[in-house]
Amino acid sequence: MLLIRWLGTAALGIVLSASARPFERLSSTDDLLPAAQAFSLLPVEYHDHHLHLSWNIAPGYYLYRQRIRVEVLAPSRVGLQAIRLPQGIAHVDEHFGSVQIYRELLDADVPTIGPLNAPLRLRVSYQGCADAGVCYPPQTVVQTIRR
Amino acid sequence: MNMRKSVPVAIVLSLAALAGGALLYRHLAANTTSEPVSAAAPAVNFITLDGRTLSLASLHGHWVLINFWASWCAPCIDELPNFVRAQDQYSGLGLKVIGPALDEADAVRPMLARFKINYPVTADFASGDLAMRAFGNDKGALPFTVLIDPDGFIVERNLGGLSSDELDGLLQRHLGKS
Repeated sequence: MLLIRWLGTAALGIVLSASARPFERLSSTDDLLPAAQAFSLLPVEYHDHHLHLSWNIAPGYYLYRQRIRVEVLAPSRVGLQAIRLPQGIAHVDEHFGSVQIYRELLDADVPTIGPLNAPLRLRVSYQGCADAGVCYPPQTVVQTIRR
Repeated sequence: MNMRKSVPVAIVLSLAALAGGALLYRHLAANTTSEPVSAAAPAVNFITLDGRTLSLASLHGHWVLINFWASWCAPCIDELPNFVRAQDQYSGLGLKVIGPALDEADAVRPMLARFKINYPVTADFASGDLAMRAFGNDKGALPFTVLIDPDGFIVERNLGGLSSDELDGLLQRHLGKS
C-alpha cells in the first residue's frame, strides 16, 4: 500500500511539473538575486548629527548615484542636508548620458538639521541594475532610528 | 482481484500513463520548435495611456507579445525599436504587441514619440508589477517579455533584453517568417 501511495504521489508530481512549467530560454539571468539581496541596505546609524548609510552591493550588480534619495518622514522638525556620496565609477549610458555608479560597498553620510530627541523615521530609495542586462525597479526602504 | 483493491491500482496506472504521456510530450516539445510546453496566460487587464481597457482575453486568436519595461531601465530602452519593428513586420501574421511600463505616465509619454511606438502602452507601476509576477517573473526585474499563442497559452518568457536577431528568431520560431 505504501508503494502504491508513493507511486501515485510521484506520478502526480511528474504530471503537474510537466504541465505547469512553460518553456523558458536559459540565460545568465537565471540566477538573479532578488533586489533586497542584490542591494542590501544596512541599518542606518546616527552619530554626531550625521546619518550613516551603507549598502552591500552583490558582485555583478550596481547602483546609480543619481537615484539615491534619503527623506525624513517624521518628526517634521528634523531636516536633512544634501547626501554626501563618494566619487562613483564613471559610466556612459547611451540613454542616460554620463552617470556614476557604485559597486561592492557604498557608504554615504547625511548631516541632520535640528535636535534628534525622538525616533526618526527615514525613507531611503535607490535603484540599480545587474551586469546580466536587467534593471530593478526603484527600491524604497523605511527605517526607524531610535536613540 | 476485488473492487476495493482494483480501484487504487487503476488510479495509479492512470496516473503513471498520464505521467508517461506528459514526459513524452515534454521530451518532444523540448526537441522541436513547433509546440513547446505551455501554460495558460493569466487573465490580466491593462489600462492604456489613452485610457482604454485592454484585456488579454480580448486578444484571443492573436499572437500577443507583452514587453514589460520602464524609462529608468536602459536595457528596456535599448530593445524598444525591436518591438516597434516586430509590430510592423509581424502584424500580418496576427501579432499584437503590448508595452506595460512600470513607470509614471509623464516619464513614458516622451518615449512614445521618441521611438515612434506603434502599439498600446500602459504606465502604472503597481498593476504592471502585479501582471509581470502573474506571468512568472518573481525577480521583479526588467525587461521581461512574454509571448502568448492564439489559444491563450504562454509559449516564451524572457527576462533580459532581446536583440533584434533574438526577437526575430523567437517570432519566426512560433509565427513563421513575416
